Amino acid sequence: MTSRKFLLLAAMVTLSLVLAFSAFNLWRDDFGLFWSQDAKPVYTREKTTKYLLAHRYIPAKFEALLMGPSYADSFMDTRQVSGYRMYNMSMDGANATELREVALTAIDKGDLRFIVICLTPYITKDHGIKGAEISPKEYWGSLFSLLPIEIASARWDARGKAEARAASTWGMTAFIQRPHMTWERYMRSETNGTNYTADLDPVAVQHLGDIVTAARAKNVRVFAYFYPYNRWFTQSVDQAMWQRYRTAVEALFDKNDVVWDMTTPAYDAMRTDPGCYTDAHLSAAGARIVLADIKRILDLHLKGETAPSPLAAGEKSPCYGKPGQGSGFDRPASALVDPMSIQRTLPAATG
Amino acid sequence: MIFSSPVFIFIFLPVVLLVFQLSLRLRYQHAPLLWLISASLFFYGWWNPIYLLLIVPLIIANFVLGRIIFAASTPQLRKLYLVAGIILNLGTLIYYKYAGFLVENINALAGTHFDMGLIVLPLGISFFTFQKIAFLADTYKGRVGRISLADYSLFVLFFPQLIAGPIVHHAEIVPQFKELRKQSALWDNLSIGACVFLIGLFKKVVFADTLSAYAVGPVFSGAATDEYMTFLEAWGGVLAYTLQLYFDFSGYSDMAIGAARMFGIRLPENFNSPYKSKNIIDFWRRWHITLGRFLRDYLYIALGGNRSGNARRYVNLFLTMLIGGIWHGAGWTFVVWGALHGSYLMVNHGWRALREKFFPQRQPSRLGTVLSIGLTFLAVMVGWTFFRAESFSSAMALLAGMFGFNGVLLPASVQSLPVLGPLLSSFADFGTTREALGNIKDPLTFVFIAVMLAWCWALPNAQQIFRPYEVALSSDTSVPRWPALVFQRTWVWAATAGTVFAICLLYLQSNIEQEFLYFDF
Repeated sequence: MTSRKFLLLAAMVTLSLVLAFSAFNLWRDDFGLFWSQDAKPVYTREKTTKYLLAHRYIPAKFEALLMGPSYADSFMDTRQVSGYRMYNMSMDGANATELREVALTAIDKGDLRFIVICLTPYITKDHGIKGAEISPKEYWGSLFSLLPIEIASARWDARGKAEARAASTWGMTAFIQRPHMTWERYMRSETNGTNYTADLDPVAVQHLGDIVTAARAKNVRVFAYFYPYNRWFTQSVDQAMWQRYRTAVEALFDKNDVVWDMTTPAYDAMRTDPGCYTDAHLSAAGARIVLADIKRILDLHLKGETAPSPLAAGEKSPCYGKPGQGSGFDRPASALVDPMSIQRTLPAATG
Repeated sequence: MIFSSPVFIFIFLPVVLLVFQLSLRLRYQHAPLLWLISASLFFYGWWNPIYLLLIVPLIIANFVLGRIIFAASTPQLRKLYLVAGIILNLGTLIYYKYAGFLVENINALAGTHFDMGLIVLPLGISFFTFQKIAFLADTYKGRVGRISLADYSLFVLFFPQLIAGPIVHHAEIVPQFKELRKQSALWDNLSIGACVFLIGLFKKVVFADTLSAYAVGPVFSGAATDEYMTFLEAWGGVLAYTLQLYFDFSGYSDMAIGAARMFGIRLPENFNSPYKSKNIIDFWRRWHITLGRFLRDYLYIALGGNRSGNARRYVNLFLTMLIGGIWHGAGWTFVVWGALHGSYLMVNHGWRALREKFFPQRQPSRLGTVLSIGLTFLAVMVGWTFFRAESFSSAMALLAGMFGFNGVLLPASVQSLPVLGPLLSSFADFGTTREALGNIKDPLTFVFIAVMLAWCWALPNAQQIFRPYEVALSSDTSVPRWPALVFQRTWVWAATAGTVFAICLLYLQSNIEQEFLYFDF
């Protein structure tokens, strides 16, 4: 065979394989980017998947977003914010830049009514896309990349696991942040005398502000809450850093936004209960309390309905006290309603 | 612009090749050379155009110094100009690469607060500094004839080798520039070069980058935060890095050799299956061959080599490797790595001398050979642990995990096996509460590692596969064990190449971070 023929044949094989694989992925349309209207679970590669879902799927199917880093992600089952079609757009490890990329895509392309932002120093300590998971090239890359293969593998792996990512078409993920770390080890790390500190990156704060600005421009109501760090974590926080952070972030919001603080004494019953946490992150039981509180605030401001705080009963250990007991799936999934089945009945927010 | 980027593969390389072929048809005989110089400058400037202001004056200064040395009337003057050239090149390298490290250590020792600010390391500076010094040294010794500025510029700048080698010697490449217009095997060069490039691309994007994402990054980051390393985690992380570094750098070298071959130019071989080495001496003849050659010819021999007795020879070996370690990076872990390899070489030479004295006729058995390869691999792994670790303590944490100081914790799935589980578990667990695999995301990583180890130990390398086509300048003429793996232009090889390229594109298009490890050196 001549060299010219050799090269031609090799090129034809490459082209055939690329076209065949792309056609197969176009037929599958795992992210609803091209034609599919089906519900789209998050199986793996959370940042990329949610970024792609934000193009069509989320704007078409949901009226609200919950967004934040892992603190608003793990176990945060938005079905528990009943009465609202809320998608959990939070992403493990995300900073403000990454949240902005995904949020702006969804806000720009949809008809959202409100967003709920989880505020923690984690999202404003640095800026820029970390890694290569969120990139415009993923749009067409979804036709020809490893992502469809990884999803197929994760889907296979998730068979029969009702509460795993496979079941979540509303963005919930369920994971304990650091499975190799026991509560005792976590406690040692929080009480070793080292103060927790995090940089305050002005660009990241600006990017967080961009989300708020974009939402307002599209008449999307903004809600935000300061994440309820547990007492042990709060005690180890550098107070000067914390004040700088609070001042910078609070300046992003105005009187039309609703911002509330879950680190106040009103939340102490939860914040002193190890059962509400896996480490600095919420357990399933802790997440339920936070979600109930989000619902309370939304009901108050969007429907004018008042409800007692989920901690109003004053239980000393609302998550059963012992670490781990509140960490599992201790509530049957069938008791919850898929947010996509809820009718969009809310009036448009008035800014 | 990196070789494994779409912009290089689909735009830069085809355009440069096309114009190069057109330039060969022009009457102006320097056109191909000037085109390659321009393209190489563009390639270098793509990363950061400001550093063209560094590399271009350095090329001109070195060329002029070469001419002055060549024309100098007395040996003293020649030596003076040589020293000036070495100071110029090493001074530049030291400023960009080591100034921060030096100041940091001075501050630590003297309690001062000097601040060098942020100094960005120009890409490839360690590599082209060596080339220029070698050129000046050879000019001083009268080994270099008169060459033109264009030839010299392309010798330094030729883009396939500019950023991470192979470190090309002027004597092996400049004569090839003079033959550029005589080449007639366009399609042969293209097909062979493209296939070698593909092998490198596959090693880089499929093997190296995947290992980095699933094991190397998480484990070494964990060690950097002084996390407790489990047995399997530490082995997985260090093995993964050992393989990542090989596939990354040898993949890059294959791509460089393949890309150069597309222009009809042969670069020197840089890797010859180094993990098949039977001892450390053998390893350094197979790993980063062009660096080893430079260190030997311009450092070890300059220090006196073996001309002043055994004791001095061992000191020279140690010093050469120590400097080789520092060349790789400004950090104490690189110093330790260099010192380790210096010590390995001293032990190896000492052992060889003893063996030749007491057992001159004895040939190693097959088992002995396997054990030698295993021991060499282990020694190299220990070295890579320091090479990659962010600090000495991180490296020690990993080594403690690897050598069982934290117990031998097994995954629950293994512990639950009927017979094997209890047996293996009896070795296990000093009371750790961590998961056995720690920071390694996926147990399948170990399968991946096993496959790649088999690849390293059982399969021929790119130069062996393409041996009949003399794809690189090489002294190794051995043929692979399986003749079927020698490249031929058949439809099977064409289909394989096409499939490999499709797989590479799949990985390139995926959201895996790409970074060439040796770009940092």
